[in-house]
Formats: sequence, C-alpha cells, structure tokens
Amino acid sequence: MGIYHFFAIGIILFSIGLIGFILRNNVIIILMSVELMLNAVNLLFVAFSRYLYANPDGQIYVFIIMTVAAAEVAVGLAIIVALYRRFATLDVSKINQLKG
Amino acid sequence: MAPSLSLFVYTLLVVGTAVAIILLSHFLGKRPLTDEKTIPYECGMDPLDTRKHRFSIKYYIVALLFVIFDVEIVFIYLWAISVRDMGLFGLLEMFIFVGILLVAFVYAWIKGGLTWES
Amino acid sequence: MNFIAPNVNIISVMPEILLLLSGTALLFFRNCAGQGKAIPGIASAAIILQGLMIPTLWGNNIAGFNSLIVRDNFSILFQTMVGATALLAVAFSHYYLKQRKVSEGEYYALILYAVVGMNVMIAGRDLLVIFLGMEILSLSLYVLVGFFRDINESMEATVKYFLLGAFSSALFLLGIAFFFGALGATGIDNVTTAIEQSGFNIMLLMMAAALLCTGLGFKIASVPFHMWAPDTYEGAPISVASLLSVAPKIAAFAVLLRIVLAVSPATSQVTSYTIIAMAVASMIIGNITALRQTGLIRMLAYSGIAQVGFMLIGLLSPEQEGGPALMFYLSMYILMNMGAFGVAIVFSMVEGKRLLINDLSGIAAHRPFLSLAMSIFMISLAGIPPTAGFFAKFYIFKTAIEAGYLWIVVVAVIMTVVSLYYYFRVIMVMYMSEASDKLSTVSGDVTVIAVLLGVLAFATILFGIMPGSIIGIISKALAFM
Repeated sequence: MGIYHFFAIGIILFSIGLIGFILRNNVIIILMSVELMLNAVNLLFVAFSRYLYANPDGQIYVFIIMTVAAAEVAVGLAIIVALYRRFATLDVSKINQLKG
Repeated sequence: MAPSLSLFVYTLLVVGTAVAIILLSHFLGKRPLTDEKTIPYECGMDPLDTRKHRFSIKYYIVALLFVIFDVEIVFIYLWAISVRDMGLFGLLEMFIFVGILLVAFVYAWIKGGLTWES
Repeated sequence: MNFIAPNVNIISVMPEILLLLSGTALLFFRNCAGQGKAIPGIASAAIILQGLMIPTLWGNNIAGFNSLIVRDNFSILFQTMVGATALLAVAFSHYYLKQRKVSEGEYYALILYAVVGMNVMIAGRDLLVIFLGMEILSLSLYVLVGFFRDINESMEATVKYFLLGAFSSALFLLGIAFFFGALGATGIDNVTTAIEQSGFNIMLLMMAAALLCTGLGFKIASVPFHMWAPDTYEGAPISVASLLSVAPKIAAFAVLLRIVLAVSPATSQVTSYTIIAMAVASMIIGNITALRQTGLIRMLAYSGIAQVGFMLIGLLSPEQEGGPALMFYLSMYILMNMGAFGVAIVFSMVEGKRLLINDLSGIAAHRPFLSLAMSIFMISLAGIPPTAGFFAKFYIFKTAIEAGYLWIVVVAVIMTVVSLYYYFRVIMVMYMSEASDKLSTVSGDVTVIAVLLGVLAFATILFGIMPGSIIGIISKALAFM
C-alpha cells in the first residue's frame, strides 16, 4: 500500500462522481455525485500529506473541506425542496422553461 | 489504580446501572398491553405502512440545521485536543467561533426554524 | 510540542469584519415594520465605509493570518472595483425590490456576504483561503439567484447555477489537491521558491494549473464552461443578474492573474494553451450565439461571455502589459455592463416580465435619456472609438500583438465586427422602429437610478476620451509584480 493506491482510488472516485454528474438526471443524485467528488479530493489530500510530505496540513484541510461541503449540501437541499414545490419533479431534463 | 482495573470498575458501573434501570422499571412500572406494544419495534414507526407516507417538511428543516451545526463540532474536537498548548489564544478563538455559531442559532430561532407547531 | 500563536493582525481583515457585522445586523432587522426603508441605506453605507477603509491600506502590504491574506496594491484595486459594482447593484436592487413585497434584510445581507467572499478571494495568498472565499461568494449567490421562490424561472436558474457551481468548486478543489501534491503546500508564492530549488512534480503542477483554470472558468463564464450563464442571468432577478455578470468575474480574474503569474514560469505551455483555448472559444461562440438572441438579458449574457473571451487575452502576457490591460478592461466593463443592466431594470419595471429586444421598439421617443444612455453602453460594449470600450479592447489587442499572438488578435477583431450587429440592433430598435405602447409609460420614481446611469454613461465617454488617468493608477498598482 503506497501513494499510488490511494492516488488511484481517489481519481477513480472522482471520476465516478464526474460521470454521475454528467449522466444522471435526478437533482439529488447529481448532488451526491458532487459530494463524492469532494470526498475523493479529501482522500487525495490525506494521501499526499501522509506519503509525499511530512506535512500534516493536508489532513487539516480535510476538515475545512468537510465543513464547506456540509454548507453546500444545506443550501443545495434547500434549493431542491423549493424546486420540487414549484415543478413537482426532480428530473433536470424536465425543468427547462428557460430556452437558449 | 492500574488502567485495566479502572476500566473494569467502569464496565461494572455501566452494566450495573443499565441492569438496575431495567429491573427497577420491571418491578415498579405498570405494564398494560397496548396495541403499540405488540408490533415490532422500529423507532416508533408503523413497520407495515403504505409507501406513499411523507415526512413533515418541518422535519427537514430541523435535519438541515442539524447537519450544519453537527459538522461545526469537528473543529471543537480538533481544538479540544490542543487547548492546553494554545492557552489564552485558543480560548479566545473558541469563544469567537462559538459566538458566530450562536448568532446563526439565534437567527434560526427567530425565523421559526426551531418551532414545531405553527 | 510548542504552540506558536499565528500572527493574526486583525487590521488586515477590518473591512470584511465591518461587512460581516453589518450584514448580520441586517438579518435581524426585518422584524420591526418601520425599519424596512433603512435597509438599502445601511447596506450601501457599509459598502461605502469598507470602500473608504481599503484605500487607507494602500502601499503598506498589510499581511494577516501568517500571510494567508496580504493586502497589496493589486488586491486593493480589485477590491475597490468589487465594492463599486456591489454599490451599483444595491442601488439597482432597491428599485427592483420596491415593487415586490419581500423581506429585504436577507437580500442585502447576502450581497454584503458575497462582497466579503470576493474580498477574501482577491486578497488570499493561499489556494485554500481563495477556495473558502469562492464558496462564501457562491453560496450567497445561489440563494440570491433563487430569492423569489414563487417564480419558476428563478428556481430553474438557481438550480442550474447551483449544480454547475458546485461542480466547478469540486474541480477547483481537485486542482488544489494536485497543487498540494506537487509542492507540499498550498501557498501561491510557494511555486516561486519551488522553482528555484526545482523541488516539485511537474506533471502534477501542470494538471493543477489546468484544473484551477477550469474551476475559475466556470466563475467567469467562459466557453466551454458557460452553459449556466444565459439561463441563470435570465431567470435571476435582474438586479442580481447585474451583480452576477460583473463582480464574480472581477474576483475570479484577480485569482486567475495571481495563479497564472506564479505558475506560468513552471508550466508555461499548459497554462497558456488552456487560456488560448478558452479565449478563442469564448469570443467565437459568445459572439455568434448572441446574434440570434431575442431576449435582451440573454443577449447581454452571451455578450458577457464574448467580453470574457477578450479579457482572457490579457492573461497571455501577464508579467508585461497584459495585467494592466486586463484590469483596465475590467474596470471599463463595470461601467458599461452595469449601465446596460441598469437600463434593463428600468425597462423591466414597466414590463414586469421577460424583456425582449423588440419590446424596446420606438422607446427613444418616450424615454430619450434612457435610450441615449443605453446607446452609449452598447457602443462602448461594441468597442467604437469615442468610448471607454474602445480603449479597453485596444490595450488588450496591443499587448497580445507585442507578446506575439497575432492570430488571436485577428480572430478577436473579426469577432468585434460580428458583435457590431447585435449591439447596434438594440440601438436601431430603440430609435428607428415604430413605437409599441408596451413600454411607453414608466411607473414609479426612478430619479436615483437615472442619475446613476447618467454618471455611468458620462464616465464611459470620459474614459474613452482620456483613459490615461486610470492606466496610470493601474500601472502603479502592478509595479511590484
């Protein structure tokens, strides 16, 4: 077990989140994908700080990112509830009153 | 006292308290057999229910507030393990931090986020 | 282990503390009935006060929080620009909100919080601090865009903005992680020392640079990360759209400039290729798509995307003249874009719903002053000589030619010619079409907003005639870089 294992799993998790963000239509699942991406980044931070540098900063950053992610989820869920009340659906492909 | 001995005493106390409470309620309390008691226990919900059951939207607001304030605890844990080294500076910082949280809490309170009945 | 207290130096964040305190006070303000009228006044007073505090720090390079935040002249200039934009947005909001019965305390508080976020982004010297500033800004804006929960378009706009904004934050964060992996620290200045000791991982640093540019590309709405912009501008309250179309771009360009300046010596190819791709794509797609828009706000949104393409050219030679040229462009962009949105707010007060370009037909006969102001802003956005927009484009093009990017300038000039069509169509419709009675009567008192628009139009002409003064200030601010 070394830096490459953690790096690989971090990148894989991030990619799963990225693909989920692009392919899924349900707003809540998109939000979960974004959270997955943030947590993959957390894993990368910890791995870099543990294996590459004797620098615990990276592990502290994880806490800050977790807090930011929680704030984002709170705002996001509030938006989603308000959205559901207006449109009665969470499918983003059906929410298209603004056309370009 | 050796650590293992204190742990043993602690375990005895915990188990003893738990058993004592259960026994006390067994002997002292009344036990009428109601409908509620005959169903399997599932956190107070009816386990055989239609799927279309909806939660109250008030529950969601409380949950949202919980998520935010719960995550802030992370910083208090970090602070707690190093508070002795930080001295007065650390104490002041935590007061500022909790003060900010308190303002947010008061705002949620005034806005009615904490009242269940409306 | 000994604990060393960080050098907080609270003076360095005094303006932000002022904004946060007054914003939080506004949150609690709305409960008593008679206080509602004072709210916009308090909000603008707070912004003006912090705007007065910031220049007193000029030339001192005040550092705070162990140099995580440094107020150098560069950040002071950018923060002044952000403050001016926010002030205009507050004034516009006052008129926009007056017709709707909403609790205004939260609205203005969120604008103040957004300014705090942008100030932190601009002054931050550490990528994680910049990220925190970006999140403060974004979370405030998500709520502002969806402030009117009873309007379908507003909710759609905010959910699109939120999803793509959260996505871009994740990309930016991955960039920070790679940056940390390459250098073992997240300070922007660490790159310079690492290059001297050649102790960094070049692959990771290149990926970090590309990802950071991508994350910021969303914030400035450059192609290919622009999909949210037209829908969000159109669905959001127009006063929020005016803030959204200018202020975050200023802050994001400040961060981009810092990152590019620090990183490009190590990874010159990757950063400049990323920026060239974003610039050329933004100019072409923004201008071409703007041609076939019928809605005024949507047209302005695509025009904003195109303008970002022009600005990005300035990032190609940041250490020579590109930086000052970009800053000049941004400050002129505040004047003309906020002006155009201001006129749109006055017109939308009449109409009350989606504003089409054709709704403006013949408006010049009824509202000669507003039409004249709108024409000046349009001419300036198009970049015709007697206005500020011309010099903004001129300086950018000049720096690009000096840096050897002739072909980009050729593309830019062609796209400028294309843009003439849709900017002048607005003027044509206003002056040469038959009058429609849709917009002919304006309800409500618009004195303050009219005075503001007059000042903006005057400044647009003034800086078009004598741009030297602004350039002088900017060069002084960037002298150290």
